[in-house]
Amino acid sequence: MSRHNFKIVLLGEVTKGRVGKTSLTLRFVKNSFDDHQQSTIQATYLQKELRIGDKTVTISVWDTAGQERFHALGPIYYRNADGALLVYDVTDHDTFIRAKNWVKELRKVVGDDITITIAGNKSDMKNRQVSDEEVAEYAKSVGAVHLHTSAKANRNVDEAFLDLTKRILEKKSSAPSRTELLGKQNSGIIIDNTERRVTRTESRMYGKNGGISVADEPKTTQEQKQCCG
Amino acid sequence: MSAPEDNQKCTILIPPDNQVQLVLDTFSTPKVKQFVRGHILKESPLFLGQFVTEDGKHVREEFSIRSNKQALFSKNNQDDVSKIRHLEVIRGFAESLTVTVIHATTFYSANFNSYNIWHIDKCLHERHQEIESNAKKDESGQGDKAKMHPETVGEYKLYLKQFDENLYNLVQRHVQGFNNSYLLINGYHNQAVQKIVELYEQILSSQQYITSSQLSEDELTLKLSINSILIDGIFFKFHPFWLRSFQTLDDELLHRMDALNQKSMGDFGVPTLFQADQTLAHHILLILPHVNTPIEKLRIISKVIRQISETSSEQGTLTSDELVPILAYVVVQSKCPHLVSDCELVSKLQIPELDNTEYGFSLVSLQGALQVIQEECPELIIQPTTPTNIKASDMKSPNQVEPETLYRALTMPESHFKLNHNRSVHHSVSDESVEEMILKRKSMSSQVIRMFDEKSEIHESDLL
Repeated sequence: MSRHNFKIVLLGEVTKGRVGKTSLTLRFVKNSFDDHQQSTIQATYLQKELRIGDKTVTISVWDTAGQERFHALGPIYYRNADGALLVYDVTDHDTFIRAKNWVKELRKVVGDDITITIAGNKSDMKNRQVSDEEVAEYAKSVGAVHLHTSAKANRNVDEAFLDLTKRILEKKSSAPSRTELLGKQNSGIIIDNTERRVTRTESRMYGKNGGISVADEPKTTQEQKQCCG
Repeated sequence: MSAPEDNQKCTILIPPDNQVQLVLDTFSTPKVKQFVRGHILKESPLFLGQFVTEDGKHVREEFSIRSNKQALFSKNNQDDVSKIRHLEVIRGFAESLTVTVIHATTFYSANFNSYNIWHIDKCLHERHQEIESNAKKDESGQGDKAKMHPETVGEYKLYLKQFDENLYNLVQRHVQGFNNSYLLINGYHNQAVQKIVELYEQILSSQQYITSSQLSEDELTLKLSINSILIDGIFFKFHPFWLRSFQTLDDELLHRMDALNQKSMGDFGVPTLFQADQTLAHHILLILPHVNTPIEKLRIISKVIRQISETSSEQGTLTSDELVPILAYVVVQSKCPHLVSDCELVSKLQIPELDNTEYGFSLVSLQGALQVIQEECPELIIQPTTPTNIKASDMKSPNQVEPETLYRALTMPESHFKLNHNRSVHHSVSDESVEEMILKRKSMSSQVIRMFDEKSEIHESDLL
C-alpha cells in the first residue's frame, strides 16, 4: 500500500461575512472522526488520513488568512500546495468574484499543477445569487470542479474533499513527462517521478516565490531519490 | 581553571557529547563541578603512568595493541597494528572500570604551559553513564524516549550513534570539512546554504537506509538526526555569518516592534472575542534564539501557536484570520531578536519533509505575522547599522557553569580540537567571544527546551 501526503489550502472570503470555509472543514473532520484523525491547531491546520483504493493519503488542510488585508500573505501559504478548496457563499455574488481572483492568483503563484475545487457553500439557503450556469462555465474554463455544499446540512462536504484528493492522486500519477512539459513551455513543479523532478530543496534555494521553472540541466537519479513524497 | 597555569602537567578528559549533555542537563552546579573535577588528571607524584583526579581518585594508564583492518592494503608493516590507550581505575571508585582514549591532543595555555585533552569513550564515573544503560534497555524493547522521540541535538546524536556509528562519523567528517575548509564570504549567504544542503544530500546519498520517498517514522527521525547534527556542528561558524547577512532586516523588525509596542490586540485587528492574555506564548517565543537547529526552532514556533490556540480555544473557533494578527501581537510584545534570520534559516535548512506538516504551517504563520508587522509600520525609516559585534554578554546564561575554562573545553565541538591538532598551534580558550556565546547558547538551549516540555509535544509520528 502506498502512502501520500497532500497539502490542501482552504480559501474563502471573510471580509463581508463568513462563507463557511472553517465550518466546512470542521464538518468534514468531525463527521469522520476516528483514530486516524488528528485535529491540531483549532481550525487553522487540520490533518486527516484517507484511504482511497490501495492508497493511504494524509491530507493537511491549511486554513489561509482570507481577509483582504492579508492578501499579500497568500503566496507563502500556497507554496508547495497540491490542491485548493475555494469556498464561496451562494447567497453572495461578491464572494464568487473573490474566488475567481484567487484562482488567478493560485495559477500565478503555484502554476497549473495545483488541483482546484470550487465549493458553493450554504446551498441549503434559498436566496442564491450565483447561477449554476455561471459557476459551471467558469469552473470548466479554469479546469476546476464545482460542487454545491452545505456544512450546516452536511451536504457534499465529504465529497468535496474526497473528489479533490482523488484528482490530485490522478494528476500525480498521470503527470506529463519532462519532454512533454518542455514542449509546452510550461512551468511549475513537476510532480511525476519519471524523468525530472524539482526537489523541494531546490525550490527552497532557487524559487523564492514558489513558482518554479524547470531547468534544462538534467539531474541524476540520486537527486530524484532524495525528494520527499 | 587553574590547572594549566601551575607547572604540573594536566590532562583533561572529554567524555562523549551525550554524556556531558546529560550531566549538564541533569545535575545542579555542585554535581557538575564534581563531574568536572573527576575528569581532570594530574600525574601521580609516586608512580609513572598513574594519575590522580582532582577529587583524589587514582587511575592507571594502560595500552593495548589492535590489529589494523587496513593491514592488507598497507605497504608499511608499522601500520599493521595500532596502540590503544586505556585508563583503568585503581582507587576511590565503587566499581572497576576501563575507559578507552579515542583521541589525544596537546594544547598550550597563554603562558605556553602544555596540557592534554583526551577524548574518552565514556565517563570515568559509573553514575554518569546512565544514559547509555537506558539506551541499552531500549534495544531490548523496553522503550526509551531518547531513542523513540529524540528532540534535542544531544538526543539526535545518541540516536544516530546507536543507529549507525559510521554514519554518525560521516556526518562529523562533513561538519569538520565545512568548519575547516569552507570560506564564508559576506553577501554570499545563499551559496553557503547551497553548500550545507549539498553536504546534507551527500550524507543522505551515502547511507542505505532510506531508499523510498515514502518515509517511515524511523526514516524521518534518521533524516532529522543527520540534519540536526550537521547544522549544530557548523553552527558556531555559520550562525554569526548568517546573522550578519540579515542584520539590517532583523534591526528593522526590532525597530518596528518598538514602534508598535504600545498597540493593543485590537489595533492589530484581533476580534474582541479572541483578545486573551498571551504572556506565556511570548515567553515561549523568546526561547527561539537559544536553540540552534531547524527542528528545535520549529518545535518552539509550533508551541507558540499551540499556546495561542489553547488560550483562545474557550473563546471560539480560531482561524488563520485571527491567528496571524494574534501572533503579530505576540511577536511585538516579545521583542524577540533575530526573527527574520531565524525564519530564513529554518525555511532554508529544515528537511523538506516538514514543509507540509504542522511545523511547516507554524513557520508560515510566523512569517505571515512578520509581514503583518511590516505592513502595520511601513513608514519606519531605519538607519544603516554597523556590522554586528556578537558578544558573550548578549547571551547571558542564568546558570553559568564553573569552572568556565574546562566547561568550555567539555562542550567544544570535536572538530575544533582537530583543527588545532592538525595545525600544531596553541589553543587559546580565553578570548573568543563568538565561541563563548555559542557555548552559553548550548547550555541554555538544553535547559529551556525542557522547561516547556509539555504533554502536547509533537512527535515524528504525528507528521506521517
